[in-house]
Amino acid sequence: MPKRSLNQQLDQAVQALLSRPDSLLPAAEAELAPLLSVAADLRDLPRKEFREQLKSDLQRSSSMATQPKPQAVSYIREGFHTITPYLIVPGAAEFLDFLKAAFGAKERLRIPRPGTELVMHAEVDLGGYIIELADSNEQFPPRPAELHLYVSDADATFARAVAAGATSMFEPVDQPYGDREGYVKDKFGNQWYIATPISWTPPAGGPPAVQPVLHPRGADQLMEFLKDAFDAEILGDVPRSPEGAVLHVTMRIGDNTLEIGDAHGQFQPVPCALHLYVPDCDALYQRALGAGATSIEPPNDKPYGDREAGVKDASGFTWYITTHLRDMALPLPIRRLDFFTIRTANLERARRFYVDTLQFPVLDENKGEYFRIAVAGVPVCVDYDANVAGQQGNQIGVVVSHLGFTREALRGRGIQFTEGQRAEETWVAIKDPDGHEIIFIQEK
Amino acid sequence: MKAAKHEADDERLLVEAAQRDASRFAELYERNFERVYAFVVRRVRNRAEAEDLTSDVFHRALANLPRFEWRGVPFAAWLYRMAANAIADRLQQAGREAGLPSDADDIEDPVALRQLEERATLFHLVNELPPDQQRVVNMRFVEQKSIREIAQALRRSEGAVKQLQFRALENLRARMRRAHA
Repeated sequence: MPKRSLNQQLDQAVQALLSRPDSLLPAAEAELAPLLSVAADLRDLPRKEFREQLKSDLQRSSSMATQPKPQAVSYIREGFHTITPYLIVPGAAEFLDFLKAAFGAKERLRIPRPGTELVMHAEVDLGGYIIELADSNEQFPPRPAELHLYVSDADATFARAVAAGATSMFEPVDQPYGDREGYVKDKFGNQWYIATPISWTPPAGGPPAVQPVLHPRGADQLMEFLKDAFDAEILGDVPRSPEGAVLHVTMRIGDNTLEIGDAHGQFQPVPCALHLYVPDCDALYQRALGAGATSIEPPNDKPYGDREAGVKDASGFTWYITTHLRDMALPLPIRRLDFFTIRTANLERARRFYVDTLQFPVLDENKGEYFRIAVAGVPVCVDYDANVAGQQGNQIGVVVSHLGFTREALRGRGIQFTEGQRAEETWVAIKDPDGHEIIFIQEK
Repeated sequence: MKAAKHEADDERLLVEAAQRDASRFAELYERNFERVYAFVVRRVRNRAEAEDLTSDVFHRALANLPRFEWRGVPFAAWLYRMAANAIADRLQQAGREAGLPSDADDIEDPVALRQLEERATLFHLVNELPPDQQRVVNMRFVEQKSIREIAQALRRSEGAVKQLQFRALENLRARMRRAHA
C-alpha cells in the first residue's frame, strides 16, 4: 500500500479534530503532532467579521461617549412651539391634578425643588401644545395667565373643568365670531376660554389647542412692541370699538399665535409670563430692549441645554427669550444617598470584620440577610450573596485625618494592609474577607 | 525584562490616552481582542456565546475605563477579570451552577496565562498569513467547510487545498516559535 502523503495524513487528522471537537489529539506521525496542536487551537479561531463588527460598534459607542455629534438641533425644544405660556402658581402639584382632571392634560415632566415636594418646573401637553408651570415663591411671585383652548366639545370640557373645581364665568354659548365658547376661572388665578369652532373652518391641523390671551391697557403699544421685537404679524382684521379700542386681534410669532384685546370690564390685565423659542436669543434680547422692554436677566446658558434671557415689556408681560442649544438628559431628583450594597458570601465573617474589628456602628440588620453600617455617615449595606466568591470586589474610599494613626490602629487590630501614594494623596488599603477593599486616604 | 517594561509603559500610555479620549479605545481593543476571545471561548459552549460575551466584556471595559486605575497589572488582567465576571453572570442568569473550573484561579495561574497568551498570539498570526492560506484556515476552522467545499469555492483542486492547509499550519507553527522565542 503506498504511503499517504503528509498532506493527506494531516487533513485526515484535522477532519477527525473537527468532527469530534472534544476529543484528544488524534494519533499521527511525530512530525505532524506540532501542526495538529496548532490545528486544535484554531478550532476556537474568532470570526474575522465578528472582530470587525465589534470594533466598529465600539468605535460608535466611544465616539458617542466623547463627542456628541453636532447633529442639527432645532432651536425649539422638542414638543414645543414658539410661544408657550409659563404659569407660576401657588400649589403647582394640585394645579397639575386640576389640569389633568379638567382638560385631560398629560404630564410630560415634573422636577421637584430639591428636598421638597414643591414643583420647580413641570410641563403638560394639552392637545399637542405645552403649558409650563412652577410653584410660586418669594423670588417668583404668582403669574397666572388667560388661555384660550380649542377643544372638540366645548360643553363637555366646560363641564369637566367645573367638576374639577373651576368657577363658571359664563356657560358655553354660540358666539357671533363662530365659536361655541364658555369661560371659567380656576382657583389658582388662571382664566380659561373653552371653545369649539362651529361656523368657520379651522386651518389644516386644527385650531391651536392653547393660545395665550393678553388684555393690556394699550393694545396698540403691545402690538407695536411685538412687531419690533419678535417680528410678530397681525392675522386678519383688527376690529375696534367706536372709541378705537382693539376688540380682538390674533398675532403670529414663529409657528403659533396669541390673542390681544384692550383691557375692558371684567377683562383686566393679567401680566403673565410667556416662553418664546427663537433662533438667536442674544439678538432678540437686544431687539426687545431696543423696542422698549426692560431686562430681567441677560442671555445665559441654562443647565437644561437652553440659552435664555428675560425681559418685561411696557405692558407688564414677561418674555423668556430662549434658544435651545442641545438636548440634555434630565437630572435625577436625588435628595440623599440612602445606602449602597456590598456583597458577602459569609455574613457572620463580614460582620465580625466590619462591626467587631473595625467598629463601624450598626444602623440595622436582618440576621442571615444583611446588616447596615455607617461609614463616615454613609449607610453601607453588607448583603449576603452565596455567589459572590470570585467576583471583583468593590472599593470604599474614606478620607482619614491621620494616616500614621490609621496604620497603627490597623496594626493593633492585626489587619494587614498595603500602602502607596498618588499625586495628591497617600493611602493605606485593607481587604475585607470577601475581597472588598477599604482605602484610607490622607489628602496632602 | 526591559522589553516587558517598555511594553507595560506603552500600554499605560495607551490606557491613559483612552481614558482622556474614548476614541483611542480602538488601540486597546486591537491589542486585546484575541486575548479576551481566547479566554472566553474555552469557557462557553459555542461560538455565539463566545461572541456575545466578548462583546459584553469590551463594552463593559469601555464604559468602566474612566474608573480603571493603573497599578502595574497588565490591562489584559483587568479584562480577564471582567470576562470571568461576565461568564459568572451569564451562568447565574441561565440558572446553571458554576461547574466550570474557578475562573478567578485561572487568572492567577501563570501556566494557564501563558497558554492563553499563546492562543491569542496564534489567532493574531492568522491575519499575517498569505491571503490564500488565510482563506483556507478561515473556511476550514471557522466555517468548518470540507476540503471539497473549499476547493469548489476557491476553484482549486482538493490536493492544492490540502497543500495550502498544510503550509498554513506549518507557517503558523514557525511564527509561533519565533513569537515566543
